[in-house]
Amino acid sequence: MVLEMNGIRKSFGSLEVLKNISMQVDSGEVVSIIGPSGSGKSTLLRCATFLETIDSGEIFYTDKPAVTTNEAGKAVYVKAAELNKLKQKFGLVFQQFNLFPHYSVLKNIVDAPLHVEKRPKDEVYAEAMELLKKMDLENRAKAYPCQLSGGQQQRVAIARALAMKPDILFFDEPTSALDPELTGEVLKVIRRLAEEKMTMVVVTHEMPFARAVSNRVIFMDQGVIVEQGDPELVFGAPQQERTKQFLRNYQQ
Amino acid sequence: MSLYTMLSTMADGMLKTCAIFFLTVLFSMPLGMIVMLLRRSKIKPVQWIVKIYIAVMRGTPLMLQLLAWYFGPYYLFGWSIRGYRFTAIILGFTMNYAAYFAEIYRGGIESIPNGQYEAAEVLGYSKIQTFFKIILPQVIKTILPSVTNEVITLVKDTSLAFALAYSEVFALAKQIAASQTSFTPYVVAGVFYFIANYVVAFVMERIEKAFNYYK
Amino acid sequence: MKKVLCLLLALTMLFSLCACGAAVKENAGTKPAEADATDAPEAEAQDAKFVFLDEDLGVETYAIGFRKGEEELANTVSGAFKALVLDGTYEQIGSKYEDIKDYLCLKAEDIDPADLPERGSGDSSFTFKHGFDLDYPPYSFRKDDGSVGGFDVEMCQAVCDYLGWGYEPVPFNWEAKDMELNAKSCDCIWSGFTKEGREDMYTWGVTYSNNTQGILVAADSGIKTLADLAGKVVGVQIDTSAAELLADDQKALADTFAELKTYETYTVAYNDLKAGAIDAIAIDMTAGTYLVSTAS
Repeated sequence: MVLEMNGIRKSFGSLEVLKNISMQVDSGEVVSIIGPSGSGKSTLLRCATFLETIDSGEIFYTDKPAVTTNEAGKAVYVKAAELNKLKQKFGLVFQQFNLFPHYSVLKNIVDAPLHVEKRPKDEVYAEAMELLKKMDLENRAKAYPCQLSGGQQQRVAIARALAMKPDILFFDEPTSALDPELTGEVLKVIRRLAEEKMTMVVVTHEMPFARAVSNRVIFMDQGVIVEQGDPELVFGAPQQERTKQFLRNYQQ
Repeated sequence: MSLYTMLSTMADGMLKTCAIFFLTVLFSMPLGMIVMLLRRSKIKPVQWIVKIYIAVMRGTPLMLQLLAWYFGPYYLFGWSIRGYRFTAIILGFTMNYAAYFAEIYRGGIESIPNGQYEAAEVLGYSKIQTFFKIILPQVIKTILPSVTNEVITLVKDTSLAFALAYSEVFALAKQIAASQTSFTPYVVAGVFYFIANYVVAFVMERIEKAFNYYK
Repeated sequence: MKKVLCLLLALTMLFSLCACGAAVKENAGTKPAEADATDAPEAEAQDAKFVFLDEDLGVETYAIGFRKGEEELANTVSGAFKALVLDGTYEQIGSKYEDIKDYLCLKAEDIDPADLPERGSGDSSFTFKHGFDLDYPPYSFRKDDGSVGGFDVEMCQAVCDYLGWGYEPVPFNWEAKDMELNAKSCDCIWSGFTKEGREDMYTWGVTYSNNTQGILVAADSGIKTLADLAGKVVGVQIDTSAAELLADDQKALADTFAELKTYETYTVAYNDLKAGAIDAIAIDMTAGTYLVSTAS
């Protein structure tokens, strides 16, 4: 099990955004999370990547605890040093790419492996070029993010996340900020990663993509997982009324 | 008074003006950084104190502040202020400009999207790495135009040192103008300030260009 | 394009500077002639474009101001000053400054030689800090060679020499003079400092100069008396005796003016007068004479 989240609760003030969510992701699995906006799916991802702290629940990465719950029911995070080690197990691709604008494409990719993981320079650069090739961007290594299209930027962001050799890669609506004609190139890259058995969790509004690529689809609404399972079942024969309604609205 | 004597007399004042300028820049820019960090401190009382400090520095005339820095030690503590004139001037300018720079820095830092912090955090950068490698270079780029403005204002503000009768170029111009009943020293001072600011603008433009490789 | 424009601007400024510089040189060249002119006052009067009205605004005196209560210091300095009147130094220094020599009011015959301090009787480890304004020729100002000088500066140096004290010049900003004095960054205000109206604010040393406040007008302006100033624009420098007089003793006169314009310096006021922007300047005679004789 790469990721295990049990009984996650999270509130912003009086608004409870995640109501007792549990989710497991196996190695090589591609999980898509769909649902209306405000359903809590992005928050779930941000909690999994420690960008938000959870109120209660447990999070494990490759069976190592990151968050546990004490007797009072409150979430307890492991020590910072331990948590930093666990951060290297996952990567996150943002909706807004969040590339470092003052770094070239190549530097965006190699900087963290070099200065956070302190890996040897030759190896890191060789791998980075390999990744760029995989993203069809090997000739843009020296360019700056502002010189790239949104789709190209997002592919650099994926390469940057992959350079850290994560066990699991999270995508937070990776194509939502892109012009429609540019979403294809990004989805193609994710599809290719799926073929390579990369473990991924993708929050997305691209239903055909979720149906085609993922092993499992999770439908969330109002902070709970309403329905999950094989994409053909969830999309083809949804059991829950809310799922049906959502998919119906979506097709219109 | 020949033009040569006037220029050589005023050259001394120009050196003094430059001394005020460079020392103020040297001290106030890093101090502004500290003030900005304190301003963003999570400890409320520290925040308040810094807020009051900034409000006073920006809300009162610099000339008054210079007088306060120079005479304050005597009137408050009875200390001798002999030989303290130049120190007081540098203190006054530094503390005033640090407040302005702090606010410029703060504006710069707050303009950096949260996503940059989050991306750095997910990639495992430490807080210090995030600040110096990711945030600061971007902040510097955004604040450069405001810093240029502030530095040019400083060049002209150095003339306020006349309040403490420090014979920088403008005080000298006034003195020579009085004794020669002539506007020439003012023209000389004007040309000096103009050239000084031209140099400042030129240097800052170069720095801005150096940061122009990205948007 | 922008750069070219900037350069043009700078060049224009430089040219105007050169023009002014030439004027200054001419002015320096005519200095000796002016000294001659004082020997032939009638010739000067014919040439003069600006003259003082016969009526004056009032006579005031210049003295040395000390911190209140420092009688001993005031007496020592005054005593040494008087000794320098007796030995002729006072007159000798005064003779260097054409514009004030007629206003020096101390006479050797009036001074009682008894009780004056001996030469070299002061504490040689003491340094006397002379507070003065550098914008006030001919009492204290920047001289032609760029050094600090003037009647008051030379007299104070002579007093310190006489007593065996060290001398430290403390040029200050006139508006801050009291702060400087009270904070002890200087020991006296000695800079063409008017005593009238300030009698109780300081401990006063010797009164050494008269200072007549007058009205300077263009010779061809038709203004002959103070009454002619009714409806005219009169300029004055901020914080001077003339300004104080017009706000106080001569308020009734000032009220007849169309406007009383206050200037940061007399230099600007004088240029306005030359340009015809104002009709008259209220100024003390020494400073006014200096202004007219040196201005190009």
